[in-house]
Amino acid sequence: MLDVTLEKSKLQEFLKLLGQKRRLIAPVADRMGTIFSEVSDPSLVRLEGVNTNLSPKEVLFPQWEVLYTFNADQVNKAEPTVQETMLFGARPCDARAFELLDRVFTWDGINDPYYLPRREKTSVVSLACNVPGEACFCTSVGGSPAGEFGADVLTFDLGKKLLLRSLTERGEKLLKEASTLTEEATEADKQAVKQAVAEAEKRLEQVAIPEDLEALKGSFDAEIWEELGLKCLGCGVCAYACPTCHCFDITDETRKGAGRRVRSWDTCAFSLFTLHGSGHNPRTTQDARYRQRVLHKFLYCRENFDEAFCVGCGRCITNCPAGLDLRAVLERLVSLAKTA
Amino acid sequence: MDPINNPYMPYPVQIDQVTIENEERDLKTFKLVFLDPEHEKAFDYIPGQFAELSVLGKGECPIGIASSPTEEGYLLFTVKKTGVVTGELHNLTEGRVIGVRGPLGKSYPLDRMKGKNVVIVGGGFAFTTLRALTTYMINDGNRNDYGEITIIYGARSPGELLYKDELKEWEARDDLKTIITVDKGDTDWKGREGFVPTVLEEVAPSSKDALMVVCGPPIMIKFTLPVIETLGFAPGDTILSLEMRMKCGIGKCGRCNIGSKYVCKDGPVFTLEELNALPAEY
Repeated sequence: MLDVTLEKSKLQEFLKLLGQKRRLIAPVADRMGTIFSEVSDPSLVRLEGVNTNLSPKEVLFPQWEVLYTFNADQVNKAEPTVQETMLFGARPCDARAFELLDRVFTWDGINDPYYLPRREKTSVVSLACNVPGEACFCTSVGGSPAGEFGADVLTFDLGKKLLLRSLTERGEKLLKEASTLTEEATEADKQAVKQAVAEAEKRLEQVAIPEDLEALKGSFDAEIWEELGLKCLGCGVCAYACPTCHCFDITDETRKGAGRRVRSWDTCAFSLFTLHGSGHNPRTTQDARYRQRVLHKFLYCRENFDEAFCVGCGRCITNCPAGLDLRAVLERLVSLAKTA
Repeated sequence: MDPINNPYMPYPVQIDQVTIENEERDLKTFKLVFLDPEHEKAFDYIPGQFAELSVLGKGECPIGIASSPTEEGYLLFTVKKTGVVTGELHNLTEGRVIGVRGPLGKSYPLDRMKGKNVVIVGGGFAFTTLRALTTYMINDGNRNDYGEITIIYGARSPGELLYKDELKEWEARDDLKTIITVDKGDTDWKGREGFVPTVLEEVAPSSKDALMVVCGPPIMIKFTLPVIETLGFAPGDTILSLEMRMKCGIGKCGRCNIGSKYVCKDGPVFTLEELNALPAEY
């Protein structure tokens, strides 16, 4: 582990230096708020906000991507070009989400040939949260405002300077590459980090998470889904903003004989998601579809991967046009389990 | 990357033969031949598995494999004309190249069936992977691995029965009990009339040392399961195959899950015991 500090005045230089050898992706100001985007001018990087509207999952798992192209009956060989990339400024919850996505895209030994090469070539430099957002609840789902999972370097904002801590060998190499700009961290810096983390954790709300999986299974026929399904508009924004939602569709696009097979994000909130060719649909109501999203994250993923697929980023709460609050839903499921 | 190391890429196969299966002409069996012997070798399948058939420019759709691995050199898929991909497939003729991605999913439990009597109950065009299973078991090299084999297969009308020529061959065999029934016969029909559950009740195969394999439309399943229970087949010995909308086929796209199970990789073959433990969302 390497702890170094960087004067904030040198941040642009730091990003420029590391950006010479790789693509840099960082939060930048956009008309839609702060978004993760490829950055050529480091002066545009914004580290002030907490969570971006959309998570950086699209760096590894784009909203839309070509699997392969074809002409007439012939599939062309797929050679996805993957660039060496540094994702800078992802929050610890988003970095942890990558660890969860890894499990899906390597499940049962079937490695996704599009996701994994990107994951392997992307260094993640995360940024710990001093002041969590109002919908954040990472500590309730096993995370931390200074969580280390999924990142190569964890950065702490100490006011005038940043402390950068390597978590992996790749992270250490990255920091050494920019060693002309950094200084060794002092004991006082490390103390400041500890204090900042403790304060951030104190600010975070604790949300009750349903832990009894049998009780959760029993909630399948509960009445609350009907009420929640009535509120849910089925717009799918929760899934698109979510750093761990990973459902996708595969479709063909053609023009003048040339075509491509693409994969794009999809969501269980949509009624067409499960519609059979015969017209039969296993989930005919929004109740069933909303229930699927919650139980997939908090029950089915735990059965399959031993972890809930929620990192507590709160994006589904801040983005929901109907005001559905996952924290409240979870609390209700907990009290339902108690009365069952 | 090519199809051998990219699970999203189909193997190119040529349509060698197209057979119209029914009077309504919306069921066709496609005989497909691999263009590359390496691909054929890599496509190592067991009855009960499925594949994604791919018509470039239209998309993919999951279809059960109707051939048995004992039939070397080709694959069979019986496809109902339903949507965009199957509709286009029905327009294609011999010589055209399509794609096949697989084999996908869990097969029928052939190991568990060894040494046992096997009862196969099928309805309508869901008979495809049951044809694969039967063909596999009655193959000369395999027949002695299994005890008595009873097949009960029904369709709405004589014209809607799949694999008519083969059914005749099966009926003529003395190491196989084949009972064909139709809901309603026509003037030429000399066979049995009656719904599958009723016929199963009449035939009443013993559940001793036996496994039950059922595949059919939901309405048939609904009325057949109580009969199976009455005959004494335990839920763990009753095997079904589910239909579901599946895209990736490899447990990633999240479309086909029922509770924590993914039909594409944990199924499509399940025991009734496994299905009873899942939410009724299929």
